[in-house]
This record gives sequence, C-alpha cells and structure tokens, in this order.
Amino acid sequence: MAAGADANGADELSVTTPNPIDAVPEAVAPAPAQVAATEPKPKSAWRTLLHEVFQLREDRFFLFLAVLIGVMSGLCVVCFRIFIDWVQLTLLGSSMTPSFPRVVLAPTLAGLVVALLAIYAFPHVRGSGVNQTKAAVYISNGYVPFITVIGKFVCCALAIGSGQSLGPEDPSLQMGAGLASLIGRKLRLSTEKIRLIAPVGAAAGLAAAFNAPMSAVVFVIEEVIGTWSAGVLGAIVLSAVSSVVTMRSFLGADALFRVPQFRLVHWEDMGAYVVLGIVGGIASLILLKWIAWARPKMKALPRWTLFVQPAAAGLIIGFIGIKVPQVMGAGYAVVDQAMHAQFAWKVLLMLAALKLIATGVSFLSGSPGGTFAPTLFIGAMLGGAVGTIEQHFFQHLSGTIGTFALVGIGTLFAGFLRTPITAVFMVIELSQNYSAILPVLVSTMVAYGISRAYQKTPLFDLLARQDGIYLPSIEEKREMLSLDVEDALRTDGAIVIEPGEKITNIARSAEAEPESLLLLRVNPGEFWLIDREDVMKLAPDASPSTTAVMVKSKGPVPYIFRDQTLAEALQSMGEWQVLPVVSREDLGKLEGILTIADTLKCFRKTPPAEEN
Amino acid sequence: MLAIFIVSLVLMLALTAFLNRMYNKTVHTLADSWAAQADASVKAGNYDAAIAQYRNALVYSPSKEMYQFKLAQALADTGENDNEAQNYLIALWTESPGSGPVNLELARIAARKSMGTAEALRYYHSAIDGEWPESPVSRRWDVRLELCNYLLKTGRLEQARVETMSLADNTPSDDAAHQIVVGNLLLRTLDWNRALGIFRPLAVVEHPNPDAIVGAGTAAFNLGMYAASRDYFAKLPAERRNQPDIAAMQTTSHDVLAADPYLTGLSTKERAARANNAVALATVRAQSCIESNPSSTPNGPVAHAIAQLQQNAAEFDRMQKDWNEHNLASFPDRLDAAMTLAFSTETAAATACNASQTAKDRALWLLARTRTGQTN
Repeated sequence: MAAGADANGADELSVTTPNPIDAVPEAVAPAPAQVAATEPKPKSAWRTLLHEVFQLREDRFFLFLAVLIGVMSGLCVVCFRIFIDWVQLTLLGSSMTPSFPRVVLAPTLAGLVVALLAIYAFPHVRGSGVNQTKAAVYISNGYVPFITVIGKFVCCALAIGSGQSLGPEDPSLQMGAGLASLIGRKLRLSTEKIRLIAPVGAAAGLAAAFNAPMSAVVFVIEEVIGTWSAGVLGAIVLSAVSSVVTMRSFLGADALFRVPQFRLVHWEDMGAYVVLGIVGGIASLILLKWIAWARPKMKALPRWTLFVQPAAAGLIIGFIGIKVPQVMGAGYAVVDQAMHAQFAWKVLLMLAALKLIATGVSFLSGSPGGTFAPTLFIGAMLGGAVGTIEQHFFQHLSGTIGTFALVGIGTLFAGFLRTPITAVFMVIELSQNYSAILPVLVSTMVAYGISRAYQKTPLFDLLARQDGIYLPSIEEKREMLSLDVEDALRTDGAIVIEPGEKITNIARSAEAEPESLLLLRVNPGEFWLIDREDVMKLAPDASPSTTAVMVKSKGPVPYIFRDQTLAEALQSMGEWQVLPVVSREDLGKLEGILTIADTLKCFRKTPPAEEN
Repeated sequence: MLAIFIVSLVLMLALTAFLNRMYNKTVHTLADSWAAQADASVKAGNYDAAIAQYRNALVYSPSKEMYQFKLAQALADTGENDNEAQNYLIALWTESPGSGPVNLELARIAARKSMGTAEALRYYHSAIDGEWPESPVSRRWDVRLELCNYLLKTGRLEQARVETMSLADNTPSDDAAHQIVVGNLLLRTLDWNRALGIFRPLAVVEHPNPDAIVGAGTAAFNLGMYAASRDYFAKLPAERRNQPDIAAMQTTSHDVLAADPYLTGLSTKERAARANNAVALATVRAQSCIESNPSSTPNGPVAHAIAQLQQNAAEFDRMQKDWNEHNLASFPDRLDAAMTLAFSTETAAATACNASQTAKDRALWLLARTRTGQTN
C-alpha cells in the first residue's frame, strides 16, 4: 500500500509520489506461521533448547518435523509390509499357488476377524484411507485418531495378507497422516499446522509404500490438498524423501516391478497406445459405475451383514483363487510376470476381468485396504493384453509387452482414480525410464477423458458423497473455468488525464463523456481518481494555469492486469469501486477499467459447477 | 514431548531393524529353498515345475540376478516362453551388457526367431567377447562353435568359414578332440584345404583317431586327391570303412583312379586303353543326353551344353578312327586331345543331363574337374 494511504487505500493527493511498486497489492501468500509465537503455550525443555540453540523458527521447525514424520512413516510402512507378508506366509503359504483349503479358508476366516475388529475395536478402518485423510484435513482440522492408525495396520494386513484384492498404499497414506497428526497434536502445534501436517504424513506414507516419492507428492497435492501451496510443498517433499530413504534402507531400493527396457522406434505404436487408453478408460468406467451403483445398496443392507460382508467377499475371492490365485492380494508379483510377457492375451484379459470383480467385491464389502495396487494390476493386465494382440498383428512395431503393461498401469490409474498427473509421474518413477513418457501421456489422457466424460464425479469424491460428506472436489476445482479481469473489462469507461492538463480541457472532455471516469496518470502505474464535480465547479472560473493536479482527487488507485482473476481483482479492490487495468509492458498504458458492478455481473452470468 | 518422540523414533528404528532382520532371514531361506527345488527340477528335466519354483524364489528375492537368469534359462529351455525369457534376459542385460551367459541366452532366443539373425549374431559376438564367471576361454570357444553351427544352419557359408577360421586359430594344436571338431566344421564350410591341413597331422600319428582319418579322407576326396583319399580310408577299421558315405567315396575314388590315363606308372598301352574307354563313354553319354533333350530347349546353360554336346559328338564321329585304342597307343600325342574332348563332353552332359549320370560317367566327370583344376 502506498505511503500515507489510509485503511481504505484512499488518500488525498500528496506532494510525495509513492513508488508504484509499493502500491501493488501484496500477493496472496500465507504469512509465516506465527502461531507458536502468538498463542502462549508451555514449551518443553527440548523445544526450548531447539529454539534457543538452533534458533529454529516455527516454519523451520515444521520442516524438521516433516523429516521426523517421514522417517517414522517410513518405519511404519516397513513394519506394515513385513506384517502383510508375514500374514500371507502364515495363512496362504510361501507358494504363489496356495493349496485348496487354504485358498478358500484364509480370506473367509480373516474376513470374519476383520469384520469383528472393524465393528468393535477400530470403527474407522473401513475403506481405502484416502478419503478419510482428506476428510481429516477439511473437516477435522487434520485430526486422525491414532487408534485408526493401529486399526489400519492390523486390519489391512489381515485383509491383504489373507488374499483380499486390495493394496497397502492407501492405508499407508492414512497411517502416515495419522502419525503426523499425532505428532502435531502432542507437540501442541497450532490448528493450522496440524491441518497442514496431515498431508505431509500422507505423502510420506504413500511414498514409502510405493517407493516413488515424486508420485506420492503429486498425488497428495493432486488429490488431498488440491493446490500447489508453497507453504506446505517443501514439507511434503522432505517427508516423502525421508520416508523413502528410510524404507529403502530396510527393504532395498528396488522398484515394485522390474520393467523391461523400452525404446519407442515406430511412431505407429502410438495408435496402439490410443487403443490401450480406450480399453483402460472403459475398464475404469465399469469399475467406477459398479462401485457407484452397488455401494449404496451395500450400505443399505441390515447392520448384521457388516459381520459377514468381508468374509463373504473372502469366500468369493477364495473360490476365484482356486483356479486363478493370481487375483489374490496386492498382486505385485503377477504384475511383474505380466511385464515379462508370461501370459497369453486371453489369460491377461481373464486376469484383468477377475481382478476387477475381486477388487469390486473386496472394496464393496468394506474390507480395509487400498485400491492402488488392484488398479495397477488390472491396468498391467489390460496393457499386456493389448500389447500381445498388437505384437501378434503388427510384428514390426517396437513396443514390448512389458511396455504396454507399464503404460496400462498409468492408464487405469488415470481413468479409475482420476489423477492423471500422478499416473504419468508414477509410470516414469516405476520404470525409471523417461522414454515411456509419450505413450503414457497419450494413453492416460485418453482413458482420463473417457472416464471424465461418462462419470462426472471422481471415485474419492463419489465415495465421500455417498457417505454424506461433501469434500471439495479437486477435479472440479481444477476444471472449473477461471473468470479473469478481461471477462469484465470495460475499455471505454475512462478518460486519462495528464497532470499538466488544463482544467478547462478536462471539463470539456467530461461534458463530452458524462459516464466516463476521470483518471489522473501521475506516474506509470499511479492513477488517481479525479472528482468530476470539483472539475465542473472549478472550470468556469479557472485561470489558464489551473491544471489537473489542483483538482480534488483520490488515490493512488491500485491497478491490476487483464490476465488476473476476478477473485484476485476483488481482493485488490478493497473499498474502491473501480480499478484501472494497465498493460504489463507499460504500466502507464490504461487498457480499461474494472468496476465492481461489472465484476459481480460477470460472476452471476457464469453457470455453477456441474453436479453429478 | 519432542524428546519422547525422538525416543519413540529410536525405539521404532530398533524394532523395525529387528523385524526386518527376521523377515530378511525368512524370505532368503524361502527363496533359497524354492531355488534349490527348482534346480532339482531342472536336473530332472521338469521345466514347468522349475519355472513355478523359480518364480516363487523370485517372489522372495526379486532382485537376485541368478534366479532371474535361471528362470529365463528354464523358460527358454521349454521352447515355448521365448518372449518372457527374453524380457528377463534383457533386464539382466541392461544391468550387465557384458555378461557372456546372458548374451548367449539372448543369442539363442534370437536365433530361434525367423527374423532374428542380425540380433543373434550381435548377441553371439557379445557373448564371445563377454565376461564369463568360470573357464572363460573354454566357454568362448563353445560359443563360437555354436555360432558356427548357427551360421551353417542358416546357410551363411562365408560367415561360417570366417568364424571357423577364428575358432581354428583359438584351438590349441595339441588338443586333438577340439581340432577334429574344427576340422569337421571346416568340412561343412567346404574349406577342404584348411580341413586337410587340420586332419592330416592327426591322421598320420601312430594311433590315429578314426574321425581324423575320415576327415582327412573326405577333405582329400573333395580336393580331387583320390589316391590320398583312398589311402586314408584304407586305414579305417572295417566297420567304419563300410559306412555308406565313406564306402561311396571309396568306390568313387576307385572309379576315378581306374579311369585316369594320366596316372604315373601306367604303360602306354594301358593309357591308350583308358583313353579309348573314356572316349567311348563320352560318345555314348553325348548321344543319350542329346536324345533326351528336345531341340526346343530354351536358351540358357542347358541349351549351351546341348550345343556343345552336339559339336563334341560330331568331333567323336570324325575322330573315331584316329582315337581307337591302337592309334592312341601308337600316337600317344593324340591322347590329350581325346581326353580333352571326353572331359568337355562329360562336363557339358553334367550340366544338361546330371540326373542320368552313371558311376563311370561321374568318375570321368570328377577326373575332368580335377584335371581342369576344379574341385568341390
């Protein structure tokens, strides 16, 4: 704000002309957290020591906490994965093809135990965990009960380890968020920081589970937070990296799958990837529509069925597993096999279809567990099938079946979970090969487009709404049309007056255009609003030396640019009814004016976001 | 409170380390156990079981390259899973492009593909130049031998000859077994001179290897050294000598030697008799070949050969009296002209009427080739 300006941003013209840069409204950026400083709270000795010895400010302390959360989440995920494997070894044995009694009994009995635990001990463990984390951020100020973390750990390990078609990634995300939330609460961070710290933990948990830090960061930003907020981005990246480093130091740096090398030689291959995108989009739609249709019906069943739903799902999956044990559990090993062209296309299609059924059944039964791993599985199988068929008919093309399986993963991820940017990053991180970027981009965008066209509400938003919670939809926010200044710009509503202009001339101009504003241009970017009445009053008796600077005026008026959003313009407006819109390359050049009336009119004309 | 968290973190670290150690021990034991079962299955020739077991081993030790390689080998050995085997091998190759075993397996898979020759050759050469964990010299020799066999199988004779020469250069002269293998490859590449050079020293030792004798005899036969060939084959034990292919070469050698009027030590009369026989044989051969080919034979090598035969037949008619046995004995200077026309006739007849060649005609034709400096 200009020097000497009052609270409304208006002032009488003073002799000292302020620097126009100072007059530019401050960018909307969150102020550094001062909560600890403003809210008197008892400080622990350790914290005092850290503050005094290391002179940690609150924001730096937050970054330190991000690393701590990352390490703890990494450790938690390591234990989680070990526990899942231990459960699997105990219940299903060490072979990839478990024997008949085990394959049916293990998921059924484990389903019963999981149902009992979910009803009596851990009432919030159902579902994947992504929505719960998002709800914690938006509704509960980042509060994730620690009992839920324990419940997720135990129940998900039991469900996934016994063969339910679910994955460990989404629960890891929630466990990370829960740990972060606990740390934030116990360290008595401000509400704002606790709300921010949950996504930090979520990114750490997901990064460790996926062994892919960038994908985790992008997913949390794309799906949980919804904005690239500078205030939390650094902490999220730090926590994701530290959790992955921790996880790798225990479980090794190997990617989830060994992806065969790929080199795009023939551009004709892209046609096959478009086909894969279409297939992936349709498969995503089938799963989405099924969940959207069946979940409310499952929820409407009598309460006693909650005791048997996971067991019934386990029984169904067990029967599928007698002939096709590959669909049980997360299925990473099977994805690996598909990438190495183990299966014929018919087998791949069958695996994709059965996994889709198994995943739907598991998810609808309310068994705790994630949807990421099954999505990867179905995508890899569909990709492999398309790749095998393509190789059969077009042998000269360069894409390997492994590449198609890899691209298929991203395709279904984008179509089903509706996080296309995460999907692209994930494929690159998983393959550690940038050359797959073009096929992935093409295929994911096709699948995403199909899914978006026929299922307006994304999965996580859909689930939340079915549960009666209306969380902000990141996708809708992303795709909402932004209203800019130029949409409400009025180009002929002002007369620019130079400081040396004679008042008689000004009066003549004002009479010629009675509706126009009179803007005095003192310096480039410094406009003052001339009082029209004062001009008309002074003009008849004015001497020839009376110029514009001697007329009563208000200013400087904050200026804006035509490409800024109307929301930003409203913030700049303050008490002003009108703002000059200037050129970015010449602050003295007036491109038009923006009035509050035009702004509101423009908002009213825009249709509301489409509801599904 | 922060202190409590740091203590908790340390405890979590300790707990995770403990669990991880136990977990690693368990999974490595499982992986080794599955791999051992798979090795046993491979030995028993049960590749399907081995593949499943290696897969189980890889579930618990996914990054163990040895298991990946063995799985790829087992997959390739079934002959039905080349694509999958190739994918595993390419992943291994990416990590160690200089690995001899990996390149060899990739070469074998490429060699099985109809369009994979260039790829196969590249991998074979990489395998030859690559690193081998044990007995590198011997393994490289084996790979080059395999490459030679592959080239011969795909009809790339020139490349096979070059590779076989390299193989010969890398074979110790005192290693008779390997020398014989190389010699046999040289025979297959039709490099008779080098083959004879390999086999000759092996065939003249005190207790020669029968394979070396066969090799030397075959090389000599194809070089037109029928006497030498006969002598080599004579050294063979009877059962080997009577093998059909060797017996055929012996008979042919005998026929050629019996028809040759230029052999040293023959009397003038005997030479004249052989030359007269050759002229008679060639005359009949020319007549029968002309009769079996209609005059409408299109232009080309056959028509050219028939024209030559007609011309020769006319010449035989004209010289009938001059080239009888008595005149040939009386005027030995006529022998060369008579034999030259007989050789020309047999050569032309071989082009026009190869199918109707008798053993004696074949002997005379082979003699013609030898005398004119042509060998197989």
